[in-house]
Amino acid sequence: MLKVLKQRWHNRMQSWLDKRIPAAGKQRLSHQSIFIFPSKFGVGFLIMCVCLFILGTNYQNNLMLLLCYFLVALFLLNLFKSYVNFCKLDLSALPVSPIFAGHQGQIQLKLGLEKTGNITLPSGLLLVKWWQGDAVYSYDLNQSTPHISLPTHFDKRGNHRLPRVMCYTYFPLGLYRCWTYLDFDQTQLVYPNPVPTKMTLSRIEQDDDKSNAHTPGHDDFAALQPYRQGDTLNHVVWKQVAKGGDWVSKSFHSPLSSSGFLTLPAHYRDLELALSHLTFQVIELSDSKAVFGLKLGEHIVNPSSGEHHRRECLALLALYQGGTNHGE
Amino acid sequence: MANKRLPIAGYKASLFMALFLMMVSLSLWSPLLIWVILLCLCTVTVRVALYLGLYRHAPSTRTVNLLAVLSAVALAWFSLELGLLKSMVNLLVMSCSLKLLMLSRTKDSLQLFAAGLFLIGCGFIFSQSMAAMAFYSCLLLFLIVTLHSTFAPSLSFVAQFKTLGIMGVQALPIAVILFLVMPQLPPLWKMPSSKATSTGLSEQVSPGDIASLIESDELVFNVAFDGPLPPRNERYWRAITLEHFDGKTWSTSIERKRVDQQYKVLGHEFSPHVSGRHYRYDVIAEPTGQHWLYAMDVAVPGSYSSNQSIWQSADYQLNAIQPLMSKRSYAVVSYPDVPLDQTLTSLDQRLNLQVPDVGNPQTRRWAKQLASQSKDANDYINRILNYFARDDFAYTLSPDDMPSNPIDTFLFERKAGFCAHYASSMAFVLRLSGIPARLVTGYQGGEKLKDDVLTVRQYDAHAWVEAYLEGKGWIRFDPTSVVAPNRIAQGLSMAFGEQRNQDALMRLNQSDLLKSVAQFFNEMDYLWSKWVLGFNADKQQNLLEDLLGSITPNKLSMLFLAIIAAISGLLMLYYLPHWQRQTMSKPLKYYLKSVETVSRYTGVERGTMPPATFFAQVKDVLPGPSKNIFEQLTLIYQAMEYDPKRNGNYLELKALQKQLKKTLAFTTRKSQ
Repeated sequence: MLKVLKQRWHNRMQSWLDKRIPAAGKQRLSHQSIFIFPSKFGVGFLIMCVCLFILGTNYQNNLMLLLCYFLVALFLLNLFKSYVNFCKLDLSALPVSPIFAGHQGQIQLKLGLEKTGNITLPSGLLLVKWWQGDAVYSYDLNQSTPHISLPTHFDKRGNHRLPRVMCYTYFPLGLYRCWTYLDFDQTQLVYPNPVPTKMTLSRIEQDDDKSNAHTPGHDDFAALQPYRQGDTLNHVVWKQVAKGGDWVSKSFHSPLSSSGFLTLPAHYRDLELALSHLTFQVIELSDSKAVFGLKLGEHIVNPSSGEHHRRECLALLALYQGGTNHGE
Repeated sequence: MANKRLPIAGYKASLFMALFLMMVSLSLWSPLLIWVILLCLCTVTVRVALYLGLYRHAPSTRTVNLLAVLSAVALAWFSLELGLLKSMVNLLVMSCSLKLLMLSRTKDSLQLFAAGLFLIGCGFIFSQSMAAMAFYSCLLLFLIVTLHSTFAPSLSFVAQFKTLGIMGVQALPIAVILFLVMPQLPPLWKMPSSKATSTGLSEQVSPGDIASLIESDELVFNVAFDGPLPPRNERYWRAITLEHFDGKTWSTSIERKRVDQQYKVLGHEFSPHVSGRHYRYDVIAEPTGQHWLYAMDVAVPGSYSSNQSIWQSADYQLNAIQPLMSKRSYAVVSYPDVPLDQTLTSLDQRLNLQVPDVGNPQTRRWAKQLASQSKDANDYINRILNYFARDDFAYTLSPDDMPSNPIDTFLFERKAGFCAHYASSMAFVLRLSGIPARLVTGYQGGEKLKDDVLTVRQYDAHAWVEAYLEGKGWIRFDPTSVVAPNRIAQGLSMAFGEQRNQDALMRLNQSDLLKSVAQFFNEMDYLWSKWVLGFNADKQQNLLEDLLGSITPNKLSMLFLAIIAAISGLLMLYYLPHWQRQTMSKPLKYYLKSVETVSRYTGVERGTMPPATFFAQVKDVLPGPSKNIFEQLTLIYQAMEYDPKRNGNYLELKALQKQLKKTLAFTTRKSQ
């Protein structure tokens, strides 16, 4: 019951916020988007002022009363001070890079730190967290931090819309909490988690094109190349290295004819697991620079290789909805 | 607040907090126990060592808890003799010190901050001088800097100090407005008070006691008269009426207290009928932690709020309902010619004929002998005074100790004493022959601070006798004036300068410059006492009346609104300019406005084009008159921005921009 109410409240809040603080990649804070309320400490501070007032009245001590009024005045001033500081905040989201399910990614927020004219920069500790998240990350705006990053974590593949980011600060004296919920209009693409399996590349007869085109692979030794960062250590010619020579790695060619299509098996129990297997294969094949294609239901990615191809395949795996069930 | 652990070494806020605690506990040395101060200094040292990284591990919670229990037990042991107020201050400092050891989360430093504010407030209980105010203001600023550095750890100390200093200056006018208009309430309930200060009168007087006050030149009260000062021989400031004598010591009568208590319960306050010549004045009394107030006979409270805070008892004594924990200002009217004959004779007589059953036998014999020789009470009194006037009686500020039968010893052996010796002996002798008599302690005299202001210091302490004469009421007799007339006529420092101790002598022999400096500080202190410390409901009402004429609910609500408006106005003044601050020069502003108008009309965006190029782009599209205007505008703008020699007026640009807008709007409308 409580949960339902909470959920309903959350939804109403969400739709209200969507109207009030619309999603945008770049957010400049204004009175529309800033909320401000005394913090717990601020309330405690006021209670302290009341205590001082009572003490000052009972001891008929004007200095104590003056102290009390000074603190009240400070409290009032701080309302403006913290608001003015917070509204100088200027945040824009950088593109979010895709992650694998169950792994951690991050969204990076760029702070607008250019000083324009007489407008000074915000200062103090900025606390950032996901709306309804627990983990709080703090950034000191006085140390020139160019980016704020918030970790993202998803267990399910797909294209997830990132929730609102709650930014808040207690600057300057902790008496008020200034906060806002910003929607940076970003989505996080989550690939299926790769699960190791056997290669199931189904070869296709390539009748028309039996050229000698080769693509780098494991199969046939082709030549020696100077070692480049990222080359597999297995391919390094260790004998040469041991003699004190330059690092050289063997390069292999696998004939294009070995390329084929990855596809879902005819029978599978668990679509997610099957997709995870495919993901593993896509990664492996891409790493070995093989040419391959991907067929998922009606979606087909034509055989190719390279980083772009890899991303295309993985995105397809991430977004595949199941469609017609091949299984059972 | 993120509940993250704070760093230990190099964490500035913790160092500031430690330093603050050290300063505040040192400033509170008088109410604090020495071991509490030592404990505090130790924890501060530990914190500083942690900050410097000399020592890596903060003490464990268990260690600190053990320490806390031990300290609490020790404090509980001492608290009996300390009294509630001082115990609480000690407890607060003690717990702050221990908390400092455990300072590991933001929450801890916030708690310490709140306790620190409270300690500053407590500081004002114990000292309210201008110097204390200045000191605690600095401490407060420092404390706020500490708090600030919790939320902005990497700002430099100087930058923080500057920002918060400005904020403090901005807050001050608001605080003063609030101070002036927030109602000055009477005390809500009785607060624990600290024990009597070391110097000052007390409710028990043994003859030697008052002499010790002579050494102190501490301020007791200032009096501001409405009109001329009373002559010296009328300046008898009654503080306490002592009606019980045990052969050695005079004290306030327990029965009198009981009767007073009954009257209080019944709400039956003694209010003498007064008329005739009077002095109207305000007394600004220093805190004593006691109830008695100072006034000349016959005194009645001089204003409504004074009346509310003063209880007049039937021995003509004025008592504050709340003890004087801080400087207190009250208004009094004194009628020196009104006889003191308006109290219950039976009670007064019963109380004031009491003598101890035994002791001082020689005096008893002498009194009997004297009584048999006298015709009436007046004659008897004169005989006593004459006895004092004999050559062998001397007035001394350092009388010998008289442990047993003090009155016998004084009257017949030593014959040298202080006011309390004379007054005590005389009252005793009067009582022996059936004349009701009592001892009154208070102050006599006072130095002129300004034309209408008297300053009374501890060395003006005095004791005199009141005797009840049938048909006349209570009459004041001052045996000291017989022995040492100068004491009354000139004041103590003039009459007995050579007898005062070395310090006092130094004080009297100061050079003129030092004297005028001292005078200046005294006057400053008086003004401070009068306007800041002595600001009370009366003065507030006067202020409001000056402001509003008569006080009506309508006017009060208007004032209330005006004050809210004033405070919001101040806040706007502080912050609005920040939002509207010009970030571009005036010429640029008007140029850009015109460009916007032109772009909208022509559809050509300026982008990063220089003004001349942009003009070239749009000149064919702009209609005739606006083209000329825009050309002129561009030229002027270019000249103003890029030719340093030309200091053109931006108003010209503004006019052109308006003109351009109008022309273009006109052509747009016509074309539609």
